[in-house]
Amino acid sequence: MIRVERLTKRYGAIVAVDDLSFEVEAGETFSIIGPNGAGKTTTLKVLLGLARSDGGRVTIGPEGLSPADPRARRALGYVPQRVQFQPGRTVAEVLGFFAELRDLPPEAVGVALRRVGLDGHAARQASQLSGGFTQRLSLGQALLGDPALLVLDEPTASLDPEATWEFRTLLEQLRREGKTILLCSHLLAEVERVADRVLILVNGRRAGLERLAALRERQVSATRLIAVLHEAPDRAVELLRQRGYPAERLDDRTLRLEASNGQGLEALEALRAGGVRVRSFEQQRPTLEEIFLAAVRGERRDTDD
Amino acid sequence: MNAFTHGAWRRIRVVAREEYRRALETRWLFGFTALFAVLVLGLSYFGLAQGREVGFQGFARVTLSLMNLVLLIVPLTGLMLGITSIAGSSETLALLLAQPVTRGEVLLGRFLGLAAALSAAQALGFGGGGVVIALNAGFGQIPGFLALTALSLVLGWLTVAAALCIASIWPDRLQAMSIGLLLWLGLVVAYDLGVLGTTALLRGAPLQAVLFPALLLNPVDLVRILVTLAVGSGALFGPTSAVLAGMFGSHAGIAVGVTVLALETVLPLAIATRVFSRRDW
Repeated sequence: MIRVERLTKRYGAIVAVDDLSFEVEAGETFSIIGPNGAGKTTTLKVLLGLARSDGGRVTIGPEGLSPADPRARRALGYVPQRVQFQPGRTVAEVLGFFAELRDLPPEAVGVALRRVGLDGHAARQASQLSGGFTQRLSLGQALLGDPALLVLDEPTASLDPEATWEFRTLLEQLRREGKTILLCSHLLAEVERVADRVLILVNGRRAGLERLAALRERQVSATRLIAVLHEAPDRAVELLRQRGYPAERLDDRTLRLEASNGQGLEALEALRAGGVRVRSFEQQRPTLEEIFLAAVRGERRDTDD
Repeated sequence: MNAFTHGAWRRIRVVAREEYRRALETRWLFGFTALFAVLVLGLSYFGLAQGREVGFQGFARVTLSLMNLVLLIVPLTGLMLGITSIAGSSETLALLLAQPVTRGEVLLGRFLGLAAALSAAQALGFGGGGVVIALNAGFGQIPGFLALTALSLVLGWLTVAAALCIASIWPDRLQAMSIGLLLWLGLVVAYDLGVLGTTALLRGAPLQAVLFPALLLNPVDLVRILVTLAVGSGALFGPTSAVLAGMFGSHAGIAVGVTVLALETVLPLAIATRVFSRRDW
């Protein structure tokens, strides 16, 4: 549905997107995640034809249309991070404008309103809607004409928890309907309910492309050991590192070890054998967010080097 | 008209209609319209007060008095309307440009919508006042008043086009507004001082050789000359009146003037379309 090949985008001396390649399959929910300034929005802008690339190739849809071609944008709906609708317009008028622009019949407005649960709010002033309802309206305009592809740029970034939950439920529903969804976020939590694959973007570069299921597997097999000692942890950290365990000092009595399943207990045994007295220990399961952050930090270190 | 052209015009109309409505809903355009009507009526009614007689006077004096205000207010209004249509609204613009519409269609639609809104405001101001004056003071000198009305409309379109050009090049609203205000000051004040200085420096050269290109390059001055000559008050320009009448007093001269005004509208619009279509939003 979307093919990005060696995309590069520069703003002056800054390389916002650097040699980025990925492909979004029809019917999947593909997410681009990364910290602020990673190049997510720039990538979306190129896909939407809002910005020109400095290198590489981007095509949309089975016909391989360029993003600059308005026909490519007919096949997609876009939900921006924030949108302000013109004061004085009702919800129905806002959708009516976009429907007319897409040469759709007036009935399309009613269909879109029902799909996003705003059918009882058609006469309300769009500029006075709550954040959650504004994003629903934004999604409504993206669904006009029933495009096969939806592009969403951090759609819940400014929403309260309840509105966020409602919006994600709408997205899940669209995913079940078979829409191809490209969802951009800096929060893994925002995408983990809906995404099939996650592209991790750091400093404009691809830091990883994983199925969410694979990230979950990595989470399941990961263990974090927190051990409180009777002594300063320096000797213990050194001992563990000599044996290949990536241990680090947390404070003057505590060490931490990121390990895979089983390694935690092996490390404790190594400490005991080395004469280190452990007062207490705890094994934790890192969150999906932490696994994501570890990948991001690893990429940052590589880039800095 | 083929399907593509038909689709393009339909989209331009949709954008233009929305922009027309947006512009008319801005309070200051409403205020501008009201100010226009009040000025037309006020200048006419109180114009004779100095002659110890209060009442509606003819179009000729109203036209000349009004012209000086129009030449200040219309360019400023056109510039501000055009600049606020694009500059500083990148989020709204991005959503619009992500629709199946070309950038040229968006820009042309916005130009037409703004030009129509400004024209409607002027027509209401001039027209309303003009009708009242005509009913009270007759239709003497009405061609001059109509010339002012028509050229004021053209000046409005011209400055909207210039504003869209400015906002396309400098999409930051504060920056675009600053440049717009500088252009306005240049057109209504600084330019004339420059021309006067140049004329003084080139004392030996024929006046026409300096004035003709100078007047063509500044639409505000061009409109001033065309309206003044249309009213038949060229003598107000003093010794240069004969030269000016020679340049713009004939049908050919008027045609040249109007053509130049049209070019000064189309050219910035073409530049705006090119820049708007090529830049990142």
